[in-house]
Amino acid sequence: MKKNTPLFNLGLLTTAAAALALSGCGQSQPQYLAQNQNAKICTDNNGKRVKENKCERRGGHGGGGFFWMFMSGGSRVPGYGGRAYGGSRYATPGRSYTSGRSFSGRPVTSASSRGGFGSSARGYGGGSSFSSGS
Amino acid sequence: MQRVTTQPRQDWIKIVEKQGLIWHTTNDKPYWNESVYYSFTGEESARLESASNTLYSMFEEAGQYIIDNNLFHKLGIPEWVVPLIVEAWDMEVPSLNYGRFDLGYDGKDIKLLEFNADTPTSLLEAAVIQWQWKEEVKPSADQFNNIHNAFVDKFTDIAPYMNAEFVHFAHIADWAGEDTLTVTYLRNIAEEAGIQTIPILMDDIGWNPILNRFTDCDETEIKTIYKLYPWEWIVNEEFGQNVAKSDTKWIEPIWKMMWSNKAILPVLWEMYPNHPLLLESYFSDEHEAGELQRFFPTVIKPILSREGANITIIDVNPFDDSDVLAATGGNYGEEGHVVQKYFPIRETAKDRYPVLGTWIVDGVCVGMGIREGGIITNNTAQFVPHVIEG
Repeated sequence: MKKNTPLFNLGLLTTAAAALALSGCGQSQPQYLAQNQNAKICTDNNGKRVKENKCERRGGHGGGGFFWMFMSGGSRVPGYGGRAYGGSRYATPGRSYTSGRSFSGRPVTSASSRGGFGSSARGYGGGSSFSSGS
Repeated sequence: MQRVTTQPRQDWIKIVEKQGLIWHTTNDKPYWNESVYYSFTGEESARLESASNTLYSMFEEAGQYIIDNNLFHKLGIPEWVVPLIVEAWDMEVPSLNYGRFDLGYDGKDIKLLEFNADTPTSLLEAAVIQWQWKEEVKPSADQFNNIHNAFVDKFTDIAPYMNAEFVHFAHIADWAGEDTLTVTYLRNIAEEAGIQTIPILMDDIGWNPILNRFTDCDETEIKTIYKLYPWEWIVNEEFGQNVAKSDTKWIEPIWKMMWSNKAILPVLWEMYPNHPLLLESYFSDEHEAGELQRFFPTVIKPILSREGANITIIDVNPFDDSDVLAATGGNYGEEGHVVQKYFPIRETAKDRYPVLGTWIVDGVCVGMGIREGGIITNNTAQFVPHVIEG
């Protein structure tokens, strides 16, 4: 059964390795950009949205573990603490981007309760090689 | 099947870590062990593939048998879950239809030890790491391994039925990284197939009681979710009963609970007595279990145990004097036990007993991964690669 197994894209895996402490939920609601709107938000190394001032240091170029993420029209802008998808680290030349401050989102309401899954893993867990799988 | 010792690649740790296997060492001992590989003939590999496909169709029959004969109580499945299982089974909801058979093989006979049909792991090792090892170390040999491509095809196949702009992928925050990286690997594949994915921790899944929906951190409805987390835990947790109230599609579907517990072993024996791929098995409270134990060494397994916990191997028990050959501890057992005839896996090296894990994707056998451990395979077993030569 010699099949050509392609080298898969390692990008997500290396990001995950760095983000093992993928921690809980953010503090504000996501919003959607209109089709003709573009925005730039600030994210940490793990792709989580943080306050703009973290990227506005160092002359506004980001760095020090924080990066601008450029989102184009129609994109979903996550709330602070939420994960950004579909953006780019690079601005498209000729396009203007509104600061993420304009998309600070409503505070997350307590519409949902959390923590109702996961307790069994904590109960059986411990040990360096514990996995939920078999 | 031959066990061959070989030289690990010089920078093997760096190499496998770059490929995502960050859990390569357990308690300072290598888990990914490339100082050994197994060599199979093409004929052996074909037999293992065929046996696995036969077993899969037996499991399909067994699922219907359990439903038709209402055997759920014997599987330790709560009553409220039963209609959910029946509905998901009858409607054939989208599923990867994947799992890993654990097989005993002594060079002649192939025997089913169990089927990990809900949350099988060692996926990255089997699909990617051992293939990359082979391409580098034994490039002219073959390997029983089309696992990665099979997942790409299957995700592509079910993508139109996801009913969601994003599919959530859930796991626990395991610091060793195995669950996190395994799920990330599957996310990689799903994205290759055009599915947008969002990772979420099981603990962060929210429940909105007004709208009767599961939500993610951004309060977005979770419409379709892949989980590396067992159903038997979910249904017993605080949010478990909400599964019945929401429209969320789960991968794998809840009917997998019928297959991924050891109670299916005596059910299969009842349906296919003396089948060459099966080991004689009974529920521990059945008369036949006692009879079996009188004449043969047996293995006693809690119905829902995982990773080799609470397993006992007992020698022949003619006069109720038992001789425990091996046993492991753990927290399982309340839900009942099965008694399975003991199958002597070949000890291929001192205290090394290989268990062959054949992978099913979309209901078809597409590859194999091997774990070598002590007489009871637990989470200290090592994954070793294999090749097909001759």
